[in-house]
Amino acid sequence: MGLCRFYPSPSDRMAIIWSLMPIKDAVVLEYGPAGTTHFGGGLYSSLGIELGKTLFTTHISEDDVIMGDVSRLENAIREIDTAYHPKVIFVVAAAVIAVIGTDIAGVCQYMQEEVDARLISFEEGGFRGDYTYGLRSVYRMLANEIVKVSDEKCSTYNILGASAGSYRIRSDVWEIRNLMREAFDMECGCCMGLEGTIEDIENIGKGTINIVLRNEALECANIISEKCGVGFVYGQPYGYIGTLKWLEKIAEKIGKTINPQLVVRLKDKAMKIAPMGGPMGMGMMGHSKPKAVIQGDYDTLLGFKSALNELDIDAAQLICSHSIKDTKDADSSVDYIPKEKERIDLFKTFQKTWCLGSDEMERFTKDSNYFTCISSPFVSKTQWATHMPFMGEKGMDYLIELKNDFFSKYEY
Amino acid sequence: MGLNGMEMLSKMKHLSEVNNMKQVKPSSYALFPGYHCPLMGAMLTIKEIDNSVMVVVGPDECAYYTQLATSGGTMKTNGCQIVSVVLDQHDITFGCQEKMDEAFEELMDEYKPEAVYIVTTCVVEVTGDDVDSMAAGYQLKYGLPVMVVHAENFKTDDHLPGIEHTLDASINLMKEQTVTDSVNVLGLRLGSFMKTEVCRYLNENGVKIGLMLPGKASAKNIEEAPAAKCNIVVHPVGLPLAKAMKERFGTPYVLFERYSDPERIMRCYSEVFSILGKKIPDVFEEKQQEQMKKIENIRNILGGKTYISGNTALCNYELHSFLVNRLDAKPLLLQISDLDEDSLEFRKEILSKCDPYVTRAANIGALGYLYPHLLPDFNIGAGNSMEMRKYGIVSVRMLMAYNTLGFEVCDMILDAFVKADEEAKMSNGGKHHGIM
Repeated sequence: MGLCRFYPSPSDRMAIIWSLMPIKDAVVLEYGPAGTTHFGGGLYSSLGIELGKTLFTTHISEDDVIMGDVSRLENAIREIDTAYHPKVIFVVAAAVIAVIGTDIAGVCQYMQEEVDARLISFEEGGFRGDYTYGLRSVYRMLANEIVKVSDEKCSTYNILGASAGSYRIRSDVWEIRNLMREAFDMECGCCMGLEGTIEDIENIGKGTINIVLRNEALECANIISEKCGVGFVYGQPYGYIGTLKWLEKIAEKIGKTINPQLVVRLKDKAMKIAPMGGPMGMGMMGHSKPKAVIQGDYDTLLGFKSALNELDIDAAQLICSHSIKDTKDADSSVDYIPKEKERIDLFKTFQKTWCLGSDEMERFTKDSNYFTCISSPFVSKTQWATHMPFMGEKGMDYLIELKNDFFSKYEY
Repeated sequence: MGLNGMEMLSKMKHLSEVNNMKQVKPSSYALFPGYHCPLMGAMLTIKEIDNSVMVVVGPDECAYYTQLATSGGTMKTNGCQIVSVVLDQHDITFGCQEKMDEAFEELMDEYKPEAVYIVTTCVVEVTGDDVDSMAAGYQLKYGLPVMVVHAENFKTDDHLPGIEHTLDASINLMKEQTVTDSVNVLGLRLGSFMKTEVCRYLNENGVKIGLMLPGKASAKNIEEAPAAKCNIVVHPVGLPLAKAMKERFGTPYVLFERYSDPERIMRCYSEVFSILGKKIPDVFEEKQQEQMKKIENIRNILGGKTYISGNTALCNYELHSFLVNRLDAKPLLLQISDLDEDSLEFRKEILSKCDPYVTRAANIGALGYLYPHLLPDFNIGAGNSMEMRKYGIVSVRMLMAYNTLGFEVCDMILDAFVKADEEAKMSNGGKHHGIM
């Protein structure tokens, strides 16, 4: 697998930056060549992240590389602290800094005495794993270093694991907020790593429950549970039945009942789309059963699989966009195909299939398929709307429309 | 909250105080967006070469961003296939040869290119993998030109070395040719030479345009480049290749940048037409006279006006020398990215009238804090538009600059300043109110 023809999997370092930049009153300082930051700005803004005063670079010269001169880093830390007064400066090593082994944790340690901002370093440099490693790393750090223990409790919930790198994540979070408001009359305290301030993260320990959207945030949820006694529910609300089950898990955890009107509405909608099933199913009507393949993050795959199941569509293959070696008890139906060539060859075999995936899948599948973008990379797609989710009730409403379009195209 | 503009200025050097870039400090230590890297320069150049493959060798981030940048819009790949060899910890520790061999075999099999450019990044340059030897091996094994562009970012403050090194490397594609009545255009970073006045006049006088690099080209176009009677170098990034071609193939060259001064433009035209053995068209003399008159008129309007400037598509120091000496304008701050010998005369010309502050380019975030202290009339190049409006600073917009060369450059500059001056009068009724 020497050649990479399209996008490689984003690195741990990229995920670290896109998860830290959205935190208001904090600054990300990259220690490394400026070109990386300049290039990276294009990606981060495409993910809907504000660039102004959230990301800086020190740039480096040959002197820094050869002589180990860290004065640029020291000066930049001092300057940011004085000029912008952030609560935290996250110092992130670039790949070349990680290779030469500059001790940026050490620099942050001695510089801490000079500045008011808290200094937290990330030395991964992009070589420790794919973006899921970076997400775990950031979430773990935020739980350990920023979330505060508090005796005070409030009725809010928090969202853990909403990553800016996920397609339509802001819409999905909007839908979760709607669902939680309608179901339990609860408001979100913090959507960690996507919105909010350092103070919001500090206050996560005051919340009633944490909603964990992806596997990479489980360790973080466990740390907060042990540290602050805040329980959590893990899973994503996909499909009408899936959403109801998800709400029921939360209801059980917080000891509240779900707004009955919402329950009735979700059940009604689920009934309307229920397949004829059994011996009267489509197979019996002379049609082949419609097929889908899904490419995306681990939790996205499982979520879409269950939603498509409600639509009586067989998710024939679940292709994970990242390594699942750190995913405990991973679902056996999920495949990770690390070799790009093998993935491309597989994509080329699909026919008359609903392909839900990334730009990569769209590029290499034939036109005889029906494509829906649901995962990263999604460079050719824009994300203007923040109210068009895939999750929840509204997400399922939309998926039904897509399904009908798919069916009409292939006369299922 | 923010940077202290006065303090920044107090630490900033003047043009007269610097003679190498190490002496020029950035306006802040924390930069945003920061400089482009040479990988970008290489990408901009190679993406236009038909039937070529560009192989980015580096961490996944460099590979990802190169794909991202060329996925659409004006920077979309145009004839070139961009791929990468993504290095992991194993490659960093044990070297990337094995992965490179495998990748090269795959790309030869899948794309069947006419030329391959291997572009290195910071990490490879630090680990010291001998990519040049690998390329030589592939060239021998597969029988096609394989060029290496070294594109580490820690030796430079901009992307231009990436363009320059790509051009340099391309000489390996060139072969001896019979000389024809054509010219090559070297160093045109952006825009289209075909839209320029120089191109029009050359065509009108029976001169064909050969290779344009950077520009749309094929491996064959590059191979046949020595057929040109003259190389026109429109930016210094094309100079090393022009010099190498002169040495190897005897092709003379003329440095004809996007100059502003009509007399200098006239000299360039004269040199080109002399090498081509053609009579200089009478229209040039008329144009020069016209522009000198226009300059006289506009000096009455712009004389004494102040400005700050970032990088432009023009020959920067020459532009400032022109503005200072021909129009009596006064630069207060220049954002610069080089202090080469080539620009020494222009710098002396600027210093004969004024001594502006100098700082490193590509740090727009910090620039805004200097506006209330410098309060220039105009800004040239990139800037913080919201902050500029606040202080009544008007942008001089030279939007068509990339498609100009010759006397039209002077016209464009003069018109842009007149327009900016009118805009200032309309919007400010005077300047520097400090209000929106």
